[in-house]
Amino acid sequence: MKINAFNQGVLYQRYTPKLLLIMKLTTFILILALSQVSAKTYSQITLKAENVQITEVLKQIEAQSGFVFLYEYGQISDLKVSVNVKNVSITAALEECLENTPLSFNIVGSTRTITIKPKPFSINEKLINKPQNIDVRGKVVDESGRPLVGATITVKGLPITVLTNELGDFYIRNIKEKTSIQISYLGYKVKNLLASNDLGTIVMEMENANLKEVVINTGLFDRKADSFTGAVATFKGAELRAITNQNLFSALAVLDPSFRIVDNVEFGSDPNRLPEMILRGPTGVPDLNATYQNAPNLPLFILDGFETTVQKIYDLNMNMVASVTLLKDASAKAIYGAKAGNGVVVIETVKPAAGKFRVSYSASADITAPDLSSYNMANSAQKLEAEVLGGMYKSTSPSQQFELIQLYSVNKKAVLDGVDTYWLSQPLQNGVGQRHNLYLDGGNETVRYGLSGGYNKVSGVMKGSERTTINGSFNFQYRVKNLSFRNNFMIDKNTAVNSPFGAFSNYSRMNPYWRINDDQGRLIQSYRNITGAEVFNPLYDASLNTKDQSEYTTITENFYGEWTMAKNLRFTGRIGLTLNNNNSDLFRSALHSDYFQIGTNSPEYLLRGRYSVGNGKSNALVSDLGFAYSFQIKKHQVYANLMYNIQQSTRSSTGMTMVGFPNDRMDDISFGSQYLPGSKASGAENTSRALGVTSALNYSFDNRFLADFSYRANGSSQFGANKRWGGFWSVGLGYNLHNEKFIKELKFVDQFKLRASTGTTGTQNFSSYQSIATYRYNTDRVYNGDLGLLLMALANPNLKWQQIMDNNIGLDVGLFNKIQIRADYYLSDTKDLLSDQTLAPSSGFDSYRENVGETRNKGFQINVSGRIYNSEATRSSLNIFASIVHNKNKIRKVSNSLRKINENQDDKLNNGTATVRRMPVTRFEEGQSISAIWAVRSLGIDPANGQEIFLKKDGSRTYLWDVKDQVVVGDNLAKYNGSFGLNWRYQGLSVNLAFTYRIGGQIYNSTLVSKLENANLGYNIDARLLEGRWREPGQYSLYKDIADMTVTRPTSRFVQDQNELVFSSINTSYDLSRTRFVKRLGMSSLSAGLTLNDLARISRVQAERGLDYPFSRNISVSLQANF
Amino acid sequence: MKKIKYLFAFLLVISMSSCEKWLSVKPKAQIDSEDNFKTEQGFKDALTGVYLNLSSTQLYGMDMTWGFVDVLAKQYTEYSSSQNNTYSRLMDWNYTTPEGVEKIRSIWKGMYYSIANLNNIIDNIDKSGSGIFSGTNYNVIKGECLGLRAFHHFDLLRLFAPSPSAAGGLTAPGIPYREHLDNYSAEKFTIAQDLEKIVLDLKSAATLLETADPIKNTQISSTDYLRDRKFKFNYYAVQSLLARVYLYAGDYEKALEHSKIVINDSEAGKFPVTPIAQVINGNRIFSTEVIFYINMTNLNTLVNENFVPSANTNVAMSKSNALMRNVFDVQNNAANSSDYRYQYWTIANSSTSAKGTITKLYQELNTNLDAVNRLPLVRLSEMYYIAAESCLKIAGKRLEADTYLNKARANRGLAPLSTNLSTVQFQDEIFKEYRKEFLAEGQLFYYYKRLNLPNIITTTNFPAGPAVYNLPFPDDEIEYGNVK
Repeated sequence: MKINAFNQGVLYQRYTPKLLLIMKLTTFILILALSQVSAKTYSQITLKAENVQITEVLKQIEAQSGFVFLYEYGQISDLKVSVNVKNVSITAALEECLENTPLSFNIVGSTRTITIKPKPFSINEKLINKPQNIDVRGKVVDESGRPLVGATITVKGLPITVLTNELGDFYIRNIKEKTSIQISYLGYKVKNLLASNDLGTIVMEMENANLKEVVINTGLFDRKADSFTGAVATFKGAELRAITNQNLFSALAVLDPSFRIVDNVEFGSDPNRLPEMILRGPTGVPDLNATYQNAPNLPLFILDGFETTVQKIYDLNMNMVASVTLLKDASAKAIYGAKAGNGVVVIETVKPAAGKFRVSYSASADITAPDLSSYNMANSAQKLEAEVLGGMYKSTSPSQQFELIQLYSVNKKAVLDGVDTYWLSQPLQNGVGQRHNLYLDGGNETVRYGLSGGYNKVSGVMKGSERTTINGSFNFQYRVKNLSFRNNFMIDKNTAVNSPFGAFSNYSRMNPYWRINDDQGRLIQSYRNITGAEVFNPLYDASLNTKDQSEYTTITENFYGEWTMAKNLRFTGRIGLTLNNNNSDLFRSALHSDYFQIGTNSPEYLLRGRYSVGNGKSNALVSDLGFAYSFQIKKHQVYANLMYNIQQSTRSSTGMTMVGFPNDRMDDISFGSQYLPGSKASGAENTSRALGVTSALNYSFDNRFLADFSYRANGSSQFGANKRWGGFWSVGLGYNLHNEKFIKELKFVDQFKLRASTGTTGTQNFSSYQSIATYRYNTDRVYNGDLGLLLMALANPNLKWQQIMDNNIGLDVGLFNKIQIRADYYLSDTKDLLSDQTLAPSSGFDSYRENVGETRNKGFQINVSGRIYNSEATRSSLNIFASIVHNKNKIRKVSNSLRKINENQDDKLNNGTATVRRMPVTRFEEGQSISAIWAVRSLGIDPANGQEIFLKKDGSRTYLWDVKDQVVVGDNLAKYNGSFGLNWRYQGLSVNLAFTYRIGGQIYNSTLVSKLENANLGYNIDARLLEGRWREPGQYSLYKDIADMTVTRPTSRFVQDQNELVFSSINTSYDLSRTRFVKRLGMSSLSAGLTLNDLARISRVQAERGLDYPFSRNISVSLQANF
Repeated sequence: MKKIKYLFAFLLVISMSSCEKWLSVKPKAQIDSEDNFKTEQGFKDALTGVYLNLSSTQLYGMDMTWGFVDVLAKQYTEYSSSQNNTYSRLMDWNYTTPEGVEKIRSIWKGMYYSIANLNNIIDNIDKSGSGIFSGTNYNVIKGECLGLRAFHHFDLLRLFAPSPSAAGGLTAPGIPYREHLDNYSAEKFTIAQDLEKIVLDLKSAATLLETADPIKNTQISSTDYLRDRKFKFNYYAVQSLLARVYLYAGDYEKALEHSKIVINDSEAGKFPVTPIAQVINGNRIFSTEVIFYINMTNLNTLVNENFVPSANTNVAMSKSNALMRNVFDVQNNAANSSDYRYQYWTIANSSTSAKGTITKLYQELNTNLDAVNRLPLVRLSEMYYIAAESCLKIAGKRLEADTYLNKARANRGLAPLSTNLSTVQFQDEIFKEYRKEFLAEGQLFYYYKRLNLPNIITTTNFPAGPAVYNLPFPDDEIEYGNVK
């Protein structure tokens, strides 16, 4: 009987007899209630009944309405109904009454008679599909797709509680369909869903930002965010990928502006050029002598607990990144001691999750488009006009004058013929790259595995410029009893090919009135410019067979073991091994324009063409052993770690250059006829070792008062025998105000934490043997049959660690469950700066290593994020974020040798070549910033004669530029920089926008100077040259006399404020998981995305950017599927 | 818990087992200085390195002998091949041109690099003591090092500081005298102080070598380090240098004293006169008379590049025929001189029949192995000249002066001088000897400078003075050193 089924449906199988008893009681009360129903009007029915026999209800309606019901008693007598209406029409009352019954009614004419009959068959069908008992299953995962184990599922109105298993799966038997079920997990937002057979994968969202960093991974060990006192920032892989999929660095720079990528004006967006990065401020002095092994301010990179190279991170498969943590202050980074001075970037890759075998695949097509908006080149008519105005076609010698007139007519004819070659576009392309990533994982509690393979081809905007990375990794985990092991094996292979088109500056300087091809369509090899110089067509060299590429292969093997020896006591051991092989090839044939000048009779004729190879090998072995101990006594909680680690790294390289490659098809080094004269095979070797003992203690009382202590003793082979060991310490204090009662009472405060820390760290980007005197055998000659040794370097046994003292105070505030604020103020002093010092040659050497100077970085950072709107029902949300960073750098002490560098620099300005003289130089003065711009103050151009008026130091005016009048006229470092953006989600669609900005920094517009005032009129110029330069007395102009060919030296006139707003990223993605199409393909999820990077740049300064390699805009279309 | 105990013990062992040793990484492609000086061989190799450096073309292999320094003395008037372009530009003492700056810096740096290497050996030999050395090697090595240190400083002084006979005298500023390998900028001393240090080093060297150097005692042809002492800065080189230094300082008594030490021992058979038959046979450097020469395996190449007229130009680095005749007092091309040096050191420039090409350093690789690959730095004849000049200056020794000079002249096939030459005439005879004897050996410039002569003489007179005689210090020395 269907009616029986209906009746049962109301009750849940597990209802106890007690519940039934309650129901009976209700019926009794209802009957009482019915008796009180009044009968004011027949048309307005008021009725309240629950689970009462329908015949009883009908009787009541008859009484109130005066209608008569006709029905077969046998058909309806078993039915019980519930109804609750007030002053409604009889139709409405009946509808309500019969709603859940297999009955229908019909008012017969105006007879006040109503018939009640069973509904037709189809109506019964509908009835069957009404709520009934089902089994519910689902899977609970976090935002990055990892299963949440132990999430709580409750069913509304029922005493049922279920926990997810180790795969994140749960299963509830036999509940009513569409009952509300609730899923909760600590730190995540409670999720309400209506029950259905298969809920699929349920993604839990983080509750709010303050609980986001539940655990902070410092790379060595984990710390509870709530009790940690360090200044850190953690980003999930998904957050980073929402900014860009290009590389980790660009994404980090947007999300946390304290992580800065130094703009490389010269090499722009060259994919084969590793970016230079600074975390907070520059700790070292610029490497004027170019002897650092790496950039002096490079942070330390830790990948899955092991130190790694910038290159590895640059080429890292972004899909495999689970999270990135920036460690900024002493409390956070001191555990890395000697290497952490420049900050630490901790990267964790995705770990295999247990569960059934899963396949994820992602792919993207990446388009790079050249951004030439900063270029403002003259067209052919403008260029010719500039040449005329510059007096280039005038000569006092009649014969030369004749030639010049001829040249002018040739050029003029070209202009009139409409020749206006756009050289800039010649070597450029819209590069199309692609990425693919496949990840397979699965396993159970005991054994888990993950296998990934990635292919990434980046195609640059210069034709032929490419970077291809193939990586693979195998991750294996094994856990038994109190032991667990993890092994991660990775292989990366990278090929970087540079464009055969050479430097972009060779194209931007070409005159627009030169044709590329002659009348027969052949490439013109060279041109003669107005100064008489022969200028080669750069496209000619690009048409030849050349080779400029490098490759590397890296194998990384990391092993982790963990043994829980006793309750609260854990022992960990790790071994990491990295092997790297790299090689580079540079080939240029005899046909190259470099060799045009060499005649067939010259002895060098046969030596044309060259091939250089370089081979390098490096390996690193790191091992550490650690103990972790934690206990809680009443309100005291202590985490203690002790770690001992040793490490050795070796690097070696060889290289040679052969010459004599007559034909460009002979593109192998073995074709060469001999070594480059005067050269031989070269080689270098570097081994360094370090060991350290780290201890860290984290204490919290009542989760209110927090303290962190750490000490690390570090020994390194890179430092002088007398100063080999260094001690690094940190102390951090915190106060969780939000755990105090008086704050708890303020309901809108979710978090209020004060932090302060101080401590020291060191930096070491230095070559291995800088502190010891070394000998090398001279193998070129013997002396009377004996071999001799020669000193290679001057020892400095007192060379010691460069120390950085960090002080930080910070504040974490969460309000209304919506707003999260994080603010830090820091003061960081670098002492004993390591630098190469120039020596008097009477010491026998040019330089040696010394600890010199002190610098200070001072600044703050504020990050605000807010959840403006969030609706579970429509699956929509809007989040915004904004951040600001300020850093001020100051040189506090300069050594004599640094002062001498200043003199040297000034001397360059006085006596250097024209190219050197027109650029401001780096100077080290106490109280000034390292990035200060030094120039002579300018009062502008004298309208009377077109000469520049300078302001001397004593305040007087002069036309003469003097190196002694240089003052600080700006600072390259922005006063404030930061980012802001939003994240909007509506159902499956999500949109991310990110902007970055900088305010209050200056730039010396050297490209403008060189293409405008210092322009060599033999080459193309900036179009502003014509409009802007002084021509006649009385003219007010920004730029000096057009006929004045003297070099413009550093002047404040070209110092410009660089306020800049960059539309860094727009990312949209659509989650297709809910579409039927996806289900049909057997996928568990599918999403498609579009990312555009570096879309637009609004800047007050129009300076050419990307001189040797242009900047690019990036568009990436991606697809991600899980099976 | 037992397991844990073992583990702790294991860790302790790891951490305690000589971290310090593990941390001192020794480079592979290079040798750590400390390691090197643990053995006697290390000292020998390091000292050999100094000889290699000093015999490089940048120093005594070329520029400090027949190259730059002889160019300054106008020993050559003709330059042709591309290698000598630098020299032809420097022959007019253009020290501030890019070529001049570069050349001067390379000499300065090269000399001090030798000194740095020497100082490292001296510092370490003092540290290690004589214990690890066999025989007299400790004394020999240390003596050579001290002697060479003085030798380098002395030539730097002669090039860069004013002549003691010039206006400022001995109190004029000298050059930095470096006695340790360190990174401090040494102060610049006065010439007197420099000379004092030089003499001190030489005296210590003489003391160490006097008993130890086989050349002084019994010349044993050992296969060890002590073989071929003339290739090393031996005892007699030290004594000769003392004579040279004292003469430069104007202390004639001492100059005579030390030159006589060498002369007396040589007459007792140490440095026999080279028989003319050997010279004819190709021993043009009179090798038996050389007290200290350097070994240069690449000498033949260098000589071919610079002194042998090339097929294209027919001219090498040479004197004009007129100058050659002037120097050797030869009236015309047809005439000859009894002077062996004219006969065997010069040939006709190939384009003309007139003599101008200098063959002194031509290498007879097959016929005269005793003279091959050797470039003389100190020779016996100079001791005769020093003795003669000293006697000339010391009252009552005029006759001795005649004797010394005539002996040296006789060795070169020249007749004795007339006995009634005036002091000036006699000095001029000594000058003539310097011009001839030290052809391609770099000593002539110092003769001009020592006496602060007003002219440098070829066939014409070139006025000379501080601007010619005193090479400017390299810029970076002025900038980074304490020499202002």
